[in-house]
Amino acid sequence: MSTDQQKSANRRIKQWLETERRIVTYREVAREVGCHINEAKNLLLSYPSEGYRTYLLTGLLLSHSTLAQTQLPLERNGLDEKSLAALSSTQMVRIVDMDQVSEDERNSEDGDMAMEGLGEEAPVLEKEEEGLEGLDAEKVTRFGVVLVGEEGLEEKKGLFEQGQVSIHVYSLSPAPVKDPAQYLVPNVALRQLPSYHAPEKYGTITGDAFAPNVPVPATKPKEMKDGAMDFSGGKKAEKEKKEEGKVKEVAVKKETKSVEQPKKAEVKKVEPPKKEPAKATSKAKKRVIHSDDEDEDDGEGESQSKAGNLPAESSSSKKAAAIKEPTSSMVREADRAAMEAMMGMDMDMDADLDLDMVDEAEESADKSGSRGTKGSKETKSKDVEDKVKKEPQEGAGTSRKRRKVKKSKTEMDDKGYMITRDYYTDESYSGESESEADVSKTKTAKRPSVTKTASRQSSVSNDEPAERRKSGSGTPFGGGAAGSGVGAGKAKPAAKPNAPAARGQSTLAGFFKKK
Amino acid sequence: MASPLPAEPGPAPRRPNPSYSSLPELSKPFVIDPANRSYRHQYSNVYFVRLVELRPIVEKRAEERWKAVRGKPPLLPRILNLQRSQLCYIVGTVYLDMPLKPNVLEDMARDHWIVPPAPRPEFFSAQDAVHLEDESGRVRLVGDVIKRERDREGGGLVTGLIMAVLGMETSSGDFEVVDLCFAGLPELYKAPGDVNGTGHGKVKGKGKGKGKAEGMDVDEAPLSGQDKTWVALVSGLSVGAQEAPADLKTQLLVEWLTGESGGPSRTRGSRLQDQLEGARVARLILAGNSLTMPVRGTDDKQPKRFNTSNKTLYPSHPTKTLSLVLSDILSSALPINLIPGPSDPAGATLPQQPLPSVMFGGPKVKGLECMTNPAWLEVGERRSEHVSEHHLSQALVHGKGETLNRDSFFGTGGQTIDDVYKYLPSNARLSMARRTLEWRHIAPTAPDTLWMYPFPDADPFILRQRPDVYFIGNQPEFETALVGDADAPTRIILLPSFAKTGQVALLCLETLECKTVEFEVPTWVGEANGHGVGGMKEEGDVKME
Repeated sequence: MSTDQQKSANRRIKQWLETERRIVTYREVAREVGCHINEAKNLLLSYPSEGYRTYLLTGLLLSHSTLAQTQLPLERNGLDEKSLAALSSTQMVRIVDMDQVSEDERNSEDGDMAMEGLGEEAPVLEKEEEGLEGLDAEKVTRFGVVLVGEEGLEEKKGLFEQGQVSIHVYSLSPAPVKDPAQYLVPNVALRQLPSYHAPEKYGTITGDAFAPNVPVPATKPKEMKDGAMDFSGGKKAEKEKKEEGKVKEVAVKKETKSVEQPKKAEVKKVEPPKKEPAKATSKAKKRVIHSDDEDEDDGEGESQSKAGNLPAESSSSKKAAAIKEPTSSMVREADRAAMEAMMGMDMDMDADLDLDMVDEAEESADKSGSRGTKGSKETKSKDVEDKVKKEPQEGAGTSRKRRKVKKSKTEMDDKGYMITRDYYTDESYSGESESEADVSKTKTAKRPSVTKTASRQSSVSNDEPAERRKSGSGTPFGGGAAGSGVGAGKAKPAAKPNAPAARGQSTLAGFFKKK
Repeated sequence: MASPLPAEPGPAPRRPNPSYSSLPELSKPFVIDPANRSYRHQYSNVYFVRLVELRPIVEKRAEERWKAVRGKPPLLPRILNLQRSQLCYIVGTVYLDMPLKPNVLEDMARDHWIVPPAPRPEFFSAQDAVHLEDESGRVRLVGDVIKRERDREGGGLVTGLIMAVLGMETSSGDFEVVDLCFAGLPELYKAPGDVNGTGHGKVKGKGKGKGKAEGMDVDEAPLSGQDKTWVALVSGLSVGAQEAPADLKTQLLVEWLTGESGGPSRTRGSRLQDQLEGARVARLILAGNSLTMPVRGTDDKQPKRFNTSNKTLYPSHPTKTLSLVLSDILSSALPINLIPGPSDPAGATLPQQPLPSVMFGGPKVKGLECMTNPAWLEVGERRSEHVSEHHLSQALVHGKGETLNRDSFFGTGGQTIDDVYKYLPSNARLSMARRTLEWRHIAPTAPDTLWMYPFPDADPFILRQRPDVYFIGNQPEFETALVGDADAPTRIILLPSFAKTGQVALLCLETLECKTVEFEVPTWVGEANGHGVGGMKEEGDVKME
């Protein structure tokens, strides 16, 4: 280390000590100055100061030296003998002497006569050579690490074997340290440094136990305000990637719209597994809530594009997607959800926002093409129905009406929890006149459809709120647009800057409707 | 006084990287599939399975032991078949009738207007009666032998263990015991492919143990301090204990493990002794109580909105703090095994299930393995030559110097021994731990007084194989001993609470040698009067922002 560096380091230490009046540990110096951990210790040692030094002693302990212990609050309860004695002295409680041998035990001695014949045989039994006496604890080498203020240094040195102790300065502080937490405070700040872990620089231990990725400082979970960890760590990056993926998806969909044939493939796609819509919605929902992981999205997008272009392949690609589904990302997702519930952290609020906007963009892109057949298709796959809740969503001109239906589905997930999910799906129902329904049927038959997840469908109609309200006003569920957020079931009017704000709550009555 | 350290900005010290396995075939019984978890089963199944599994072993051993006894005492298959005055032996499950043992029926009948008495630290009393039972019936065991066995230091009987007794029925219908016999120490664990008879002679053909570069080049020479590979065992970090000294100790531990603290030892030249010692630690095992239980009344208080109190602002979220500690340790490439203990949020019944790894940053955190409460694992290499040097074994037969060995570890968070302790008059926990090995059952008192998951058709706590290292967390003090044959020993380690004692056990993989590292932080102003700490601190003049 050059003298220049040393000088600047000293200047910084001086500033910390004298201006900021705070404790300076060697770890902090090493990180702030960017030098080897031992150089930092030397810097502190050579720093000319009147301040209070804390030393760390390390070395072999004498076999008889004892170190101070910390009392933990939990160990203080328990029944101590004194209190029992006091209890008995009050004569309120009679304490039975459990060391007395019970009556029957004494009486049972008469069984002895039978054993007499055996007396000479007993020695035949080889005695258990081991275990007759207690097991003695081994003496072990003891190595000590003792933190001590400058006033106790000499005394603590006595704990160690002569010449087997090494001493270095742990910290400097402007005044004697009275609260142990003070030594901890610098670490909270230190962890926020990007170069907190850099074994090469500081000469700390490293290794190749998990060689391919020793936690790199950059990917290290970043801190929250309280010095704790932010588990949403790389999520933002994921989200961004995901948005890209979605844009791609949108593009793909535009393509499919222009091609007329994908309808057949679509039929296949929607029909088969009963669970499909539920799964899809649940996935979509998760996406809204947690900002799902990127590859899953890609898989979906891919399978869709394939379905669009190569109908023959659609089933296989679909299978692939289905196989893909319970991947680690799902598990991770579940874990994360559990964790969030546990820690009561709400860090995904902002994630919702962006995603909604993406969804909308996407939907507006494919809405004209895709809406028609959905209703009739989806009715096939409904299995559990709870509440019918939404107004018709069809645009003007058709009277084959569709309404949004909230269903809930209970299933056992792979962790054994019963999970009830609410999801929204569209359902067609005939309007007042049959003929109109027929018209709509013929109409739907023409339309190619890309069945997207229900949450997206819900926002399909966002762009024509006026019409919707008109047509919906006649139904028993009128005004039901009421703040049913996208799939998530949360009302968040503020989250949507444009049209949905109006949609959030159209009437006062809607606000109080059951959701 | 401190002297300047020789700064050696050379390459950072590197840890050895021994192979590791979580021994799935042994750990699997402890994992309860959450999808078919059911608490509807009766506990009788557990006892039944235990008796069925251990009875043949005990019978065999008893037969060997008593075959020389004159009169060839027969084995009675059923306790009900006992004949008066006929010398014989029987095998069954021990049941201790203990007046002090908590009784759920008494609890039910209790008048709830009165505050129940505080739970006792022990159930033991001189009025306890020992019974032996099997499927057919139960008989009371009497006699000096049984009394001596129960009372002596290092002995003891607990409910639920399987034992054979030799003796005869008395006129009063009791069974006068002449001698007794347990299942005995099981065989040392051997990896499935291990064909060698001796426990530790194993040629390892696999290309594991990449970190052996320094250690393994030296062939016949005894290991020097620099070549040993150590595993650190810590219990009771008690993160979140609201005790700053405990947190500070943890911090010192982290600094030691990452090789930051310490310096050269003067007598050993200029090498950075401490830092290199830390660098030889290849794995860290946290055996229970990494988190602390919340203290009712203080931890659930609403935090003050403005920092009006004089307490320092240190994050008080135990899980986050622990995950920071773990990530610090992991950053120095030290893998961690995390075993839950009684105060960890992993359920109250044994086997405790692994803490969700997402608590500590999720699956992307490499090197942290959350395990069940009794847990098996296997680490690293042990050189047979060294074993032979110690124990005259014939391990050198395998030659080549590359005869690596792996040490199997088996440990619990401490509940098992804590519960056995309640039954016995002595304080000798080390012998209790050995007893559990001899009984071939690590938790005989479950499900009687130790909570346990009602396994419908298994008793996972039966010990079929003996580990090289048997560690028990959260014990009052550090103790260690070797048990078993000289050439196939098991190292028992009792780990104390780190937050309290500051002790860390280090175990040498090569030699099964054990040592401790102890951490001490100064006593603080106001701490001298014990409980007054909190009060003093609040009025104290320490102000931090």
